[in-house]
Amino acid sequence: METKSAAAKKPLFPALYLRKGQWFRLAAIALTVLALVFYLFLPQVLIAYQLYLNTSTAGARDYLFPVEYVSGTTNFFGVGYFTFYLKSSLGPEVLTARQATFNWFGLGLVITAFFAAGLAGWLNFTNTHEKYSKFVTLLFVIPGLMCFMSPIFFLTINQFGAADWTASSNLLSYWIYDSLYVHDAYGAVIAGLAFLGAAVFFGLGTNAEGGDKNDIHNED
Amino acid sequence: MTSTMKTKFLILPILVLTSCATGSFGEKATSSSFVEVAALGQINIASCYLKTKVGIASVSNSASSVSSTGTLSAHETDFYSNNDFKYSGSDGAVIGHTEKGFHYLLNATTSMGYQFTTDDPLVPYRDKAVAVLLQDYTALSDLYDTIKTYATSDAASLGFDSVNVTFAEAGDTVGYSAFAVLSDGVTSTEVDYYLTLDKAVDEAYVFTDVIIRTSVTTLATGIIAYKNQEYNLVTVSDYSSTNFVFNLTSYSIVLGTSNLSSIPSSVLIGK
Repeated sequence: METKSAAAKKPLFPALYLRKGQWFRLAAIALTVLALVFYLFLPQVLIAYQLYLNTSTAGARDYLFPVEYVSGTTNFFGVGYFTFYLKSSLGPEVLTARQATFNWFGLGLVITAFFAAGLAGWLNFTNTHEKYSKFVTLLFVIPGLMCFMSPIFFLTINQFGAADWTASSNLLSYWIYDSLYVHDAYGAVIAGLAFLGAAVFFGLGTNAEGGDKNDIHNED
Repeated sequence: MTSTMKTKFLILPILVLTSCATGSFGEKATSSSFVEVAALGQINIASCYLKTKVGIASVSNSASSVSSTGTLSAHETDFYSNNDFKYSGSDGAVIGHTEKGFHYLLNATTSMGYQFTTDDPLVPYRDKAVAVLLQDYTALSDLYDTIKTYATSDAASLGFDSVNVTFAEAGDTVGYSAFAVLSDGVTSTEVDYYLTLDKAVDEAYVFTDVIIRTSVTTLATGIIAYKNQEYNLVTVSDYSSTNFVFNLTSYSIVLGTSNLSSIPSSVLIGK
């Protein structure tokens, strides 16, 4: 009977047999890839004067300005244009379109995500370097938080809004630094949550695998 | 599942994703990007001002701090109902006002003025204000033509290393931005134009906010010599909707004078 039971439990494809913890970690990797797709293709930055109640811009124009979603490709690769109002300290407020520039912060995000996914895969199948599991979990969290910070990075890279001080050639007081109309677009929230979800899945997988053997709590 | 269905199954999510990514707007300006601008006779300009700031900025090596000094000059013209007007500039500040059948010509700087029984003494000052306005509007029209040229010409033929002109439309507002750069290894000259127009009458657009910024950077020292010119223009559908509200009691007014030539020059300036 025991022999028969053991035979019944034998997987159909032994090479594909994975423990529950490994499945969780694979799910974390898959979720990271999905989050990257969301980050690169869904809108990441929202320019919405209509939502900005304490505007220093001209009120009548605010309500006619379309809610503007800056796509992931424009945000990351800088291939497209985006439009916003620029207010001078001397009074006039001009409507201007600018070509986005390549987002180095975004490149950091993508590299971190790939690094996290690669390390996760390595840990998942070697099963001998669990001491790095917390570090990998942190690596999943970092791009998640960076997604939520997309508007800040976008402002900095493209040198407008509150980050305009980084462009010394703008002579400081020339423009009024007004960035509160720039928000997270839904794509940044979805991608950010996906990265954080990957961190959770990886943590669950680590727990199911027995966790970090160097962890004092596990030794107990 | 057929292969066609499989293909659709794979393409559909991509289409959904890419369709979500079309929200930002703005484009490189072309000859077709330019709108019809209202002629001066089609619009009623309530006010127009030009501020000019010229100065020097010094950029530190870390580029984290900038010290900037500059001098600001400005002139402004305003028109109201009943042919009331204001003009202020480096050559003086004059107000023309009609109230209860009397015409007042006032010096806004000294708060002194004269009362007349006819409008004639106010006419030359009003004409001067109109002349300044015409000069400003012509300058803006010329600038608009310049931007058109920038959008349709290559940088080398314009004498720049690079020229980039963008166009955006948001509601009833259109904006043109031109960024031109020229560097000779010693200095770097950057000219930025921002023209914003709003829809006014008969689908034609009128200039509202215009900024011209020229900076010449000495590359070795980081010293920037700059000149900023900024226009703001307000139009109304009808002057009768714009009443000039001010208090005559704050002015020292000489009564009963009807001859402009008898007014001391110390009272009225800027003619």
